[in-house]
Amino acid sequence: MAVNVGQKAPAFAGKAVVGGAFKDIKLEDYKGKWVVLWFYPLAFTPV
Amino acid sequence: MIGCSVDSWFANKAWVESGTLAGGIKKLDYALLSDLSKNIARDYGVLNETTGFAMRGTFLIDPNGVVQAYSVNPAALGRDVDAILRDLAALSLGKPCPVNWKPGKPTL
Repeated sequence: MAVNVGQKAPAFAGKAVVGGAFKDIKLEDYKGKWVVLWFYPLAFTPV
Repeated sequence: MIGCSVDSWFANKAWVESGTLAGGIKKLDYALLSDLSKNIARDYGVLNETTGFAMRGTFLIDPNGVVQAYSVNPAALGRDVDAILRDLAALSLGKPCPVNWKPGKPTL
């Protein structure tokens, strides 16, 4: 596992869809808030 | 809340707007992040190098950017959203929560 509990979360940045619009986001934007980062294999997968 | 996949931002936009299409979802008010380079999935250790897709990894990151909990499911096993919300509720209380703790129950 590349990530461990108690360690800094790896920084990331990229293009996202937020409320129907494209937006550049980064982890740093969420400082001061809890973040649930969840990965999924592909859009339109129903599981 | 940030969802992340190796899809393009166009695919994610189509997904968010897909409504009742097969496998479609309703509008989200949080971010779906594109990881076309697959570097984010790789950094978090959830990239399936055989398929090139991310596994169903879930990371709870505290307000200081520190990982407090994570779980990883294979593509064929959907997450338990209640369990994730329970963990988030427990962690954000900042108090020890025993086995089978549920929101509203006493902490230690």
